[in-house]
Amino acid sequence: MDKLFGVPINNMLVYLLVALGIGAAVMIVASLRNPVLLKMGVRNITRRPAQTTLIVLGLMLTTLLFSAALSTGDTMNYSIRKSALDQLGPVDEVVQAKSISVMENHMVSQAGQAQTNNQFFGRDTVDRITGALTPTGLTDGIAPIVSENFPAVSPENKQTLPEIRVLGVDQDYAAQTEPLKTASGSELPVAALAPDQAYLNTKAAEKLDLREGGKVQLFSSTGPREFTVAGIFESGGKSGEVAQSMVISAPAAQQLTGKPGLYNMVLISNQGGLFEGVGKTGAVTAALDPALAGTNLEAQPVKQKALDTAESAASSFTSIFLLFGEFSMIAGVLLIFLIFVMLAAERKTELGVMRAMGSKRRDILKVFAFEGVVYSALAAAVGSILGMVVGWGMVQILASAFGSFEEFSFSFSFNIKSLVIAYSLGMIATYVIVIISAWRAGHLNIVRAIRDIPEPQKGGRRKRWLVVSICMVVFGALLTMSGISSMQASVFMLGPSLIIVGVPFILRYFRLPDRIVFTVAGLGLLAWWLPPESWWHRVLPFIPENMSAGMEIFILSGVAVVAGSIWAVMYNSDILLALVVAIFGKIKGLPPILKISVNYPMRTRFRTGMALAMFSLIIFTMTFMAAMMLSISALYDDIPRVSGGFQIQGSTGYANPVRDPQGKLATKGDGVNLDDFAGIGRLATAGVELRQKGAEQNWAQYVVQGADAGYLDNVNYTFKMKDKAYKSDADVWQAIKNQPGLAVVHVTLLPTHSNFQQGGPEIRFQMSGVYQEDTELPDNLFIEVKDPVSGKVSQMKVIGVIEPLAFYAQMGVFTSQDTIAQMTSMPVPPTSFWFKTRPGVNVADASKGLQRTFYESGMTTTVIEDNIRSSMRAMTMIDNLLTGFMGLGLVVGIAALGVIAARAVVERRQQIGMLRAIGFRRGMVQKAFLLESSFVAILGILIGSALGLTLCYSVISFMADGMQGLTYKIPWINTILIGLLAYVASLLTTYLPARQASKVYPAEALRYE
Amino acid sequence: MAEIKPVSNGPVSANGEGRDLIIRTTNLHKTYDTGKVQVHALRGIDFEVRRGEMVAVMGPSGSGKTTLLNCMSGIDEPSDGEVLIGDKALYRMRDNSRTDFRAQNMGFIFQTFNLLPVLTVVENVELPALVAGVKPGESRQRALRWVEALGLADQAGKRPAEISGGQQQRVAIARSLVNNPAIIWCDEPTGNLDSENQNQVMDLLCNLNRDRGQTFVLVTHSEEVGERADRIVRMRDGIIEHDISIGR
Repeated sequence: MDKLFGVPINNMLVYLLVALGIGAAVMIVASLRNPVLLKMGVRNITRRPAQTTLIVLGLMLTTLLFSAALSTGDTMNYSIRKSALDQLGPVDEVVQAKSISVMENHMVSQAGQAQTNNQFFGRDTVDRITGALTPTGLTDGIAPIVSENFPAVSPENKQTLPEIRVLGVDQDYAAQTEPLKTASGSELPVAALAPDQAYLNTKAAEKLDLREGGKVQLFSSTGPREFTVAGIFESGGKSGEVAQSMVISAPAAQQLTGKPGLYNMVLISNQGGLFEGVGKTGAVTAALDPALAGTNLEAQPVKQKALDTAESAASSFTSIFLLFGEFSMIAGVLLIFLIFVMLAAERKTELGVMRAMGSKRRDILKVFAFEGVVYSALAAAVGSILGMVVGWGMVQILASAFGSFEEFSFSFSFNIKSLVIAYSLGMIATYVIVIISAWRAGHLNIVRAIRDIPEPQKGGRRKRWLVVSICMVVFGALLTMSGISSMQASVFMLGPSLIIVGVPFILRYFRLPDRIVFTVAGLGLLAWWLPPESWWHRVLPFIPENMSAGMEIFILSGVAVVAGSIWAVMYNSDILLALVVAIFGKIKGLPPILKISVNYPMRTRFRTGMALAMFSLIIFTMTFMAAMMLSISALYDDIPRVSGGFQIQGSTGYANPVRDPQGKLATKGDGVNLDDFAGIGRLATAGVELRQKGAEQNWAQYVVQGADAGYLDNVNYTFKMKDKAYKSDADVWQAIKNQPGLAVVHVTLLPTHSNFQQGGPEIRFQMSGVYQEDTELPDNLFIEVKDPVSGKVSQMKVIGVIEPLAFYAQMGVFTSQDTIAQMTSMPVPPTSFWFKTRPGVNVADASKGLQRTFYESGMTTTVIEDNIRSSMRAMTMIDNLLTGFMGLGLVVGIAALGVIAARAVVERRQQIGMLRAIGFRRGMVQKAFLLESSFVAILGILIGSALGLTLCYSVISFMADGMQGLTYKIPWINTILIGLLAYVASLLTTYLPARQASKVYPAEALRYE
Repeated sequence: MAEIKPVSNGPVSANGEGRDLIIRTTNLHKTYDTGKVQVHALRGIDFEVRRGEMVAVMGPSGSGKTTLLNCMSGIDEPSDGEVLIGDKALYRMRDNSRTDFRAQNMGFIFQTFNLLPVLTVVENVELPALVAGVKPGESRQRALRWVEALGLADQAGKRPAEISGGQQQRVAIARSLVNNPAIIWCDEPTGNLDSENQNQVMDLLCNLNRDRGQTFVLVTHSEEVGERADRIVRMRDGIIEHDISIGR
């Protein structure tokens, strides 16, 4: 991975190492000048190994999250690079007819390659390419080939392959690229290939169950042709995206394509190693430009592209995981702070004595800093290594989610740079928080510290706080204005939030009771962030609509609503207490336990608030994600809506197109016949260049889907927006059929106001001036289409925008086949077939029957419902992975409860003794501790769940405007499971301290002062 | 003082010689084993207290007076010997039974008050009643009566940190009385108080002892406090040196 959040990794590494180095130098100098303080700080680490272990485990989580996210990105990068290498070998560039990327094509049509038909060229072009490159010395291999996919059959054992990549190679192919080698390492000479001989790669041989000497039959538009397997190769003969490949002589391949003497691809290998050669790609493509000028050929930097894709995917994955992990990191930071505040509390008397004996505040800071630096270093080391383990686990889940992609596999990998970055980030983050906590610890009153008397609560009434509060309000007002003018939702939302908090805090200085201050601020934040956007627009119509927002708004909203609700709860705890006592107080034996277990957390606001914040934040994100997933995935249960009304989709290549599917089904259907289908539609995919008329856009290579009458009569995709001239969705489709020059586009080709996108493929062509959130389609929306072969420009009027749920129309531009014929100079055969089965027909059997019937054309069929459900399963798995990743933060909340409980046992030893003296049984003490943790955990779970569900409701309400049928659904099972898991884990964590508390011996505890 | 239900009959004396004996220890030993050193805190104490008596246990630091009180009250198990409270042999009971017995029959007043800082005055006072199984409403009523009786009505809703040391000790006294226990154990009850508050607290304890007939066992360093008791037991090195009845 080269970049993260746009910052080059190498730069990041240098900055972090410099920061670490400066920090280390400062610590070394400080320790040399203050050896006594160093000793005092460090001795605590070895004095209590159990406590040290707990602290290190608590501190490591932030590092773990960094490390896990980075290793996932590294794996993605490595896996894609590996896959690219598997597919390309030494090939750096490919010269071929202009085409769109396979990824886009996959998204658009789920069909085969969408190249222009005029893709073949002769020896003269190859010579021109060679002539342009050889003098430069940039390359070490130039190999013209014929590369085409054909259906293949093994006549002996009846095994079929709908698609095999056939490479027709010249005699010097091996010398120009790499030799074909068998599993045992011996070379298969391509020069020795007779016209009816072929080498198969191992995957093809396995699928066709063939060995050397076996026969393989290929079907092309020129008819079937049989080859004898002359050898099976393990390496070499790179096959592109198709796993099964076959190498034959170029003349034999030219016979199959019906283009004697013509090639359709030139493979170029740059000087240098497998990856190093990529550095010359720019020079190579530049050198090729004059040679390719005036042709429809282009030099595609395939390896560079693959490496870029790897880099971009890795960066996206890491960013997504880091973004989704932010809540856990915030919780982790709170935990670090809490741990050190607790440590300071534990050593309060010791620190007081130090101060009394003449130590300065900065000495205390140094003692903590020395101790903290060791904890931070250990925690960062453990965290970065454990993060790799978590990353490995996540990769396994990703691998099973993407298991259906045969050609791509995940291979776990991590880069040492990532490890160093994770370590440094974790170490620095932890240490900064430690220093802040240490600074706070140093500000103690010596007498109160020595006598262990609580500090008076007057923080908010100091002048300093008044100034801070006023600044908050002023800054909030500025942010509000800035947000409105820049149309940035997060800036805008943050502004009033600061005012909502700042104003009550100003009044606090003037003796407004804390309860009112925090309740107003807390409820104010909830009221500002929780309601649906539409509600605010009704109440405050001047708030601009359609502001831009990214992932950060989710983070901000989470922090704001959690902080708000915790303030409101903590400062109104008496109401909560009364409620709990009223409900449970009548249970025999419970009132005294309840009194203790509810009062303690409610009166120790700081630590309970921190623990609640950690719990609520994580539960909030998990519940929110679960509710979003359920509400959105429920939409995909409406299969007819998602599939467009078809049940089976079939794809073929251009090599041997299906001319008359109805006729063949009527006469030669194998297990299916024409009567099984209520409708058959065909899509022809034309590779063209597009731009929007009137918009300042460059031509973008893209595809247009030409639909036949069968498709347009049967498709039932609905429109998010349509031209006012058409009353119904069916009218729009009929207009496309009957009137050339009209088109519809999928909503994904429109930009959004909110810009709430993470990852996903880059879309080359996008409309402008009309947005996904709009409700009316402009009258004058035209797309200009340029035929890349003839350069002819024509235009299509856009009369509809297909709704988001139209799964198989994603990123698509649809028109009629007649329009395609008018726009392109070459005929474009349909390669995508859509079948609507009649009721009662077994769809799975029909799908297999279609594959058998059209095997000569290499048709591969998919049962659409299965495909949708499998995609949803993969999506759900990834969503669950993200939820699980966020759930790592739960460890923080649970650890916090453990830390608090352990500390409470020490702090309340004497009180426990007193309780035992006045009649608390051991079991009652234990129950009191467990109930206390339960109370915090349950409250955190309830607050987090309620906030997550409510915010999700608001988001779904907002999204429902643009997505018909989207309704809010509560994920009861997930919510209960998440809550139960968190609760049980917190109980287990506090069980030990609770048990320890119950074993406190009253006489000893009462003597202990 | 508000009218409060009189003390119940309380435990019966153990030896049958008279109903007056409420506490009896026989050959009580307590040895603390710190690993390297064994500290003999009690070395065979035989000690009796009559019902309604106020006994002050005095002695220098380390003489074993607090250990004796702890062993007699059931919060610290002796190494040897027996403690009878009424007719109950305290250390023949299981821990839970002994705890319940304490809740029903004993009250505690400590030098450092040991109030729960998170509970209000009235909540602190009602806690032993709740522990003894009294219903919450009834517990609150009892607690309020005692809070009022000890002149703390205005402080009922405050937390310990918000009231003075003398007031805190009165809360601790109210807490010890809320279950009308037969015996009240006081460990340095005035140790943290100034002389004015010390006198007030001792007046209160003496009045309660006189008016309600409850048995008080006080551990104290203070001669002034000791002199207010019916009897002074002086300890040294884990044994009773003197046992003097002084009468009031």
